[in-house]
Amino acid sequence: MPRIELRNIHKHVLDGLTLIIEDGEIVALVGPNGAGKSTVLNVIAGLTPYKGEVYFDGKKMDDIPSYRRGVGYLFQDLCLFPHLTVGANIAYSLRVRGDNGAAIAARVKELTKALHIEKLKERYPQSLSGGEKQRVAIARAVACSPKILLLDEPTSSLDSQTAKYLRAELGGFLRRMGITAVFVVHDLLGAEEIADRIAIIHKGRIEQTGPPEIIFFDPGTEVVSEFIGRPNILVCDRCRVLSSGLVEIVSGDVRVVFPYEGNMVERIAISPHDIYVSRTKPPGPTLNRYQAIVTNISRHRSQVRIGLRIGRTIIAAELTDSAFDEMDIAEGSEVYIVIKLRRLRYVESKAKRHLWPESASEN
Amino acid sequence: MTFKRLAIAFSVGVFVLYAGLILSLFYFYKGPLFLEALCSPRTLFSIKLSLMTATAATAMSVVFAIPSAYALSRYSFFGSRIIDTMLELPMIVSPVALGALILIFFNTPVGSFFQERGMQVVFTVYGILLAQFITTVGIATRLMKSAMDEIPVRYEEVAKTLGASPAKAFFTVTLPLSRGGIIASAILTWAKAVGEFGATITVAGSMAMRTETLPVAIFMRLASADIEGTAVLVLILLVMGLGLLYGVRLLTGRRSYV
Amino acid sequence: MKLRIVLVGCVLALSLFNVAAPSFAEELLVFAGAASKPPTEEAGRVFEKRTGVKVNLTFGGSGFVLSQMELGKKGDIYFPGSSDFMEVAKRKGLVFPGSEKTVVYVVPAINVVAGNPKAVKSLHDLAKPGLRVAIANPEGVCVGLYAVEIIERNFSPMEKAAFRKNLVNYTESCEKTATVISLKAADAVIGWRVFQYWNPERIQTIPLKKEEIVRIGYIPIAISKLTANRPLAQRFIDFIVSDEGRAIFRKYHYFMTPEEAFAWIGEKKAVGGEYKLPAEWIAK
Repeated sequence: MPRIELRNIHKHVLDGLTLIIEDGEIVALVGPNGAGKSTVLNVIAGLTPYKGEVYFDGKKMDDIPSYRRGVGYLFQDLCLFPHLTVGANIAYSLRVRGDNGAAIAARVKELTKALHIEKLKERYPQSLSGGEKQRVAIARAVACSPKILLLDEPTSSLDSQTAKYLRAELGGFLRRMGITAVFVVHDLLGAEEIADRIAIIHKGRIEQTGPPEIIFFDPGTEVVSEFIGRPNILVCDRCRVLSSGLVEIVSGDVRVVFPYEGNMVERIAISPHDIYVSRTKPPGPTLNRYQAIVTNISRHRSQVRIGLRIGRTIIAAELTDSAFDEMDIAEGSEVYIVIKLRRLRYVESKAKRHLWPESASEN
Repeated sequence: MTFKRLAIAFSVGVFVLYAGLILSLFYFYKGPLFLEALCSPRTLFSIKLSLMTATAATAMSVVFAIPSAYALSRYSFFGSRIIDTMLELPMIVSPVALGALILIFFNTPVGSFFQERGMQVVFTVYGILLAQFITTVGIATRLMKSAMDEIPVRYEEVAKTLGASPAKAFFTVTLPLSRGGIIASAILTWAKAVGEFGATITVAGSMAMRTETLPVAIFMRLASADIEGTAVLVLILLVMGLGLLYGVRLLTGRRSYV
Repeated sequence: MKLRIVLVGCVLALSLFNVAAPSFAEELLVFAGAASKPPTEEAGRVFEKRTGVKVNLTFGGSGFVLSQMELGKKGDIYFPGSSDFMEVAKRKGLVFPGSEKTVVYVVPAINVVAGNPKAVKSLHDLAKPGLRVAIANPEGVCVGLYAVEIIERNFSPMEKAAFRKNLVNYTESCEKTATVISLKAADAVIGWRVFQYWNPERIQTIPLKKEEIVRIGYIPIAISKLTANRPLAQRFIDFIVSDEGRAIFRKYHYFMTPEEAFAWIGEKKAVGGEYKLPAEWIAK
């Protein structure tokens, strides 16, 4: 399974882009719309002329046309051939290659079984649901066992339930086959679930690459930070398991309790959108609730970012300007905040020992 | 009147217009003359000649048009816009003018060399084929280009990522997907070839039992002030032409891939 | 916006009316064979200037314009390119037989490409193998019928067969017969002597031997029964056959009298009349 190397690529918005994808890796390419993500895929696949160099396992691919590069491509709009049945769609690359009928039939059977679409073999693409089409497209793309698979927003057209399920299956599938994969998403929602590494693309260049934890908890640049939403990153001073499935961490003067199955948490990241701000005391239990003082207010596009001080700890909340304007908050105002756990991310501690000091009085 | 009814009324109006013209043929109709004309060797020859030359010319046009249409549809190359405009030549230039152009060509050294050493075209059946081909190949290309424009280039890109060379992608994806449009274009081309008159008579002449197609025969009748004969032949051409077109329509049916 | 549409519509309607409105007091509609187009056009212009009557000329194959006249149900004068279509018109009751007058006389001859590249010297040369020959459609065009008669009269059966083998086309009208030579679509045709004058740079006339010619043709003119103004039509005919009218035709090299024609041929010949086309020449 090859190592993909892109050197100094110039095409459309891509401005000297350089990227390495290791053998067997699954890399998520993220960036805002128009950043050039699809262009990167097209360059790897050879579907568009470009300046720069592309290497597969050290072999220069620039003069090799797309149909000889052995790169599978799952397009965002799938593009299943409407004039062929599902089975014929999947078998397409094998027929083109010249495989014999029996081998083709066997492979189609194997793939439809693996992706749970056996019953659809004789149907035409028009009559399938979104999720079914997606599976057929995957089967078609991997039928001839390409060493590289490119996926353009593979789950963006699906409802979140199906998307989550499909992502898990896809990840497992790709790993089992040992395929080097690059997939494009425009937000991070599902990227971390299957990617080994995330590459953030900005203004035609790679801003930063790294495993999901590094990206989230150690954004290299302002751009990356901006892209991931400038989350609140709290280093856990102390951490203890409350009961099975529940854990408490303390960071500075903030204490957060959240569901967690494992042992130790080193760091958590909370999205500013998940900090709920209110002038009046919100109803409900006091868990994960605090009073804070507004330290600063900054407006950016249609969002308002509020700096909040809880004791010594400063965190940020973000809301739409219309929501903010209704609240009549200014610097120095006293507000109540609730920490929502919806998208809380954490980094597990590598250390085996408890971070909770033995002598602590809390229990 | 609802919008739907209004729209339908227009299409019915067109039909009534044509039907009215056909019905008025019967004003000069003479029953026994019809049968006599229909069974005469001369008319039968004209029918056979018209059918054969139109079908052959259509086949030639289609063979030329498909790759040309593909090039114009998919690739943007130097001069593609000029070529695209040039396709309209037969429509702008009247058929007789087109025929005159062909005759003039065969007057040039290149043309006359071809006729001396190659084969005679003027006043022969080959002249008919050439006239019909030249008249129809432009529009055939145009129509097929439109049909191919409807097929997203994306499908070909997909095929390429699945290992198909550009040629393979064309034959296994683009061509089958544009099949309906291509067949429709071929049918229209055939109809145009059958009805071709101006260029045919100019290049191939009007010799009975040799180069007299049905449209030419109709003109010859009218030029001999034989109006009953004209009406009869017009009727024969109508029945033959429309009948065949409708038959082909029923056979090919319609399958849309949207 | 709506006002603009209304205004444009009014202007268009008014202009249409303008087009339809006649600017002359009286008009004549002449259906003429294209064989004598140049002199007829000139004659029409002179008549217009002289009398103030607008002369509308429609040209085409003699049979074609006859059909148009018959179907259009209008027309004042029928001026075909040859006598046999006048016979058809008389038979169909479309002209007043009594009003028929002869305008000019025409003599059949061989026409070849200027410079005579195939070295055609006489009628019998037309049977030489490899020569491409054309005649007008004998069923519909006078000069074609005369050509057939000449062949029938002068060729042996073998020569006739050879000639027919050389025939590449029956042209559909008089002037098409001349055009065939101009465009070099054939090497020789049997047409009218005057063809040469229609396009001297391209057409050359080879006279027939006097014994080969059977009859000479004439171009007649008559009043159409569909006329709305018989006296006016008569005036036009009178002008055409007057010395002044005839002079215009002489300028274009037509023969004014039979005698002129006979003088050129060298023998007296029948004028016009009917010739029955042998069945073998017509495809039925």
